[in-house]
Amino acid sequence: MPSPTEPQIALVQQLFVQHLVPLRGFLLGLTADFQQVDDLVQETFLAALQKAGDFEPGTNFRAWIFAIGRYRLLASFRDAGREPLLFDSDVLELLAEEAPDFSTNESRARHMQACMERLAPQARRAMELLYQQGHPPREIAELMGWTANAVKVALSRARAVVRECIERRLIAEGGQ
Amino acid sequence: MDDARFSRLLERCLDREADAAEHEELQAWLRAEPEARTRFWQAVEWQALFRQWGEQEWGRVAAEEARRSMPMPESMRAALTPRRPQIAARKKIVPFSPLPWGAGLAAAVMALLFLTSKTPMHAPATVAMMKPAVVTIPAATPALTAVAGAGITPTATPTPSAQVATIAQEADAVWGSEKLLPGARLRAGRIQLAQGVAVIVFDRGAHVVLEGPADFEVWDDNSGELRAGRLRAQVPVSAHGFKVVTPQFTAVDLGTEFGCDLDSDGTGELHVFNGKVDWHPAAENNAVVQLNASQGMRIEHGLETRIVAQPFSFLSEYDLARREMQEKGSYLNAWRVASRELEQHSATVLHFDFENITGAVIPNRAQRAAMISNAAIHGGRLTEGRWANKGAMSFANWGDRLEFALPGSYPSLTLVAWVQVRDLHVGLNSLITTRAAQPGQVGWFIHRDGGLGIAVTKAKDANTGESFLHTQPVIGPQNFGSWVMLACVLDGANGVATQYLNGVKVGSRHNFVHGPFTLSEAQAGNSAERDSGRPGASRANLDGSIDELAILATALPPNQIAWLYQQGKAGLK
Repeated sequence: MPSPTEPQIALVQQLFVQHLVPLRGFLLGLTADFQQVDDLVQETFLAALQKAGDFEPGTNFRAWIFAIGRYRLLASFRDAGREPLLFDSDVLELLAEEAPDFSTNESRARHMQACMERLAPQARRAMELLYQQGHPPREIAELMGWTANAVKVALSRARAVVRECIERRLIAEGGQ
Repeated sequence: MDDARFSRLLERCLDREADAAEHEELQAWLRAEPEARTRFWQAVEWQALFRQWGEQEWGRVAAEEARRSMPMPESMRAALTPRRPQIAARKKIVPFSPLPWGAGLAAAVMALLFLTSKTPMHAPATVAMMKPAVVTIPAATPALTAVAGAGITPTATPTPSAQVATIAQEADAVWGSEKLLPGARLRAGRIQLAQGVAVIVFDRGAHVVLEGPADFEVWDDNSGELRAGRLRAQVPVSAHGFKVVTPQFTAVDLGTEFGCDLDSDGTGELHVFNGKVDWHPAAENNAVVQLNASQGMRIEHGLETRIVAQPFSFLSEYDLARREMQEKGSYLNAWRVASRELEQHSATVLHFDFENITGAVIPNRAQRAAMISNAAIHGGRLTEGRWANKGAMSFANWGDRLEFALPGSYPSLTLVAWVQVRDLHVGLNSLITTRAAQPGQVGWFIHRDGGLGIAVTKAKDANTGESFLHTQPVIGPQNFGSWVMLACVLDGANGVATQYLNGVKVGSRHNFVHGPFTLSEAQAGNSAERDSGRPGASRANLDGSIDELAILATALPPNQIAWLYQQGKAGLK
């Protein structure tokens, strides 16, 4: 495989940064693991740079980078000592075929902070422990002195509150 | 498709809580139903958005912390910056020089490392940020295996020349070995600290505060051997499995914070402050014991004894930062640092710091805070506390109070309040009162004569209604208008109540009621009874201010009460 040229590498770097959010979302769907997503993003980036000569400008970069990400996920599964796959390979393929581009999150993200602030302090803390600090619910229960079930209920309600809040704000925004 | 069932499975799967059967059930739906796949991706979109918020929030908090701690030197700021516990050591070797585009890739990798930010941006051990060719994990070195704890080996020994840790800071350190300045990178090897304190940050993320005189050997990026002295280790998720080997035992961290103390007489102690730690005794026929938060173990002449962990007895990075701030006269910042340590104490169930109050609620900042334990403000006014810009609540009128609830009951309790008394007008000047007359309910107040009072409702079949302790007068014109720290310890196991003023014991009573104690439907500042209009209702009142209130679900020993006072009194007249 010929080495990619400087302009090819520069283009892939630029497009990678632009598509980082959807790539992370795509990999999160296939792994449900924040930590594994971080690892895979790094591996995908390195693989993409090595293959930068293969990317044809003007074609669908998102599909190209998703394919590399999916390949890295399967490759990591084959490596000894890695986490087992979340889904069987046939389900993985079906899901990968239908993955969204995560563009809907761009408008949602504008209202995220305001809606998070509507949560009760303890519900917000549970959300922070999960999404900011990466603790799984069972650790959150320990940290907050709650039962595991109370944490699950609190997280579920908090997510519903924020989702509804964002959707209401988007509707209001659209109506203006 | 059963909508509710599918939603539940999806949520459990994305939270990584689903078991094998639930996974199979979800997969069957995803295989068969296009709508299930659509809904799956919709849920993932939200999950990704929440995670994106979490990452941004982490960055914002880190920036805020850095700004708040401006008076601190860089090394202190690094120590106090919130860490992302899930940050893992980089496991891969990023191929730099073998590739033809060297510098361009290096820059891009740096950009990516920043974007994905798996390494804390402020962590002192900045190898991963500065040199993306990071950590290799070759096999363990057999020569290091035959120390304490059967089967305890270094977690992963890098190549002999590899640097595995960093000296993040030191205070008055006198080195018995090579002098090490903050920023010095460490290879596997021995460190002798004749006196003073040093903070070592291992590359996997564990922070170790080493108190001299100490003899410590760094084994690799996630383990070391303590031969003498004491240390406190704070271990993020990325460093789970962090080990400290000693001649008597080995501590294997399962997250998050513990201390080890080795006396010159051969006594060894392990104290677990948060999370869980496995105690591996050196003697092979003794069993491994898992210790939880607040638990500890002492080994003396081969005999193991359970002890209660004493977090404030071990120096922490907070102590170092606070000490430096106090020396600079930055008392409020120093208190804020100490206050964070109190909030993270595994026994702290309530901490009102009266800082950043917006609206009519005083948030309970304890890490273990229960959902409904924030206080609602009824009357009173926000005022200045011990130092300029420190918040406090002033109580003057009948009915000025905070209302809060602490669910559950506690075998022992420690109540701590920083109070400025203006005058003692009435018989009972209330600090904390409880509305419901159930067994174990606690009332804490200052008598008109200046004595400190504590009353606990006895079981209903007892002869008298309450158990009392009324100390000698300690509050009066001599300290009206001054900030004082009051503390009351209810040791339920031994039936002892003790009251403290400014860290000094001023009265105690044995044969006091045993626990459990409760504080459901509690008020601080004043009693709500007067609002009832009931004839004869207690007219307890406080004419003064409170700028900190803490409740711990344990009986703190006298040295820790004194420690709390030392942290809060700096700069007071």
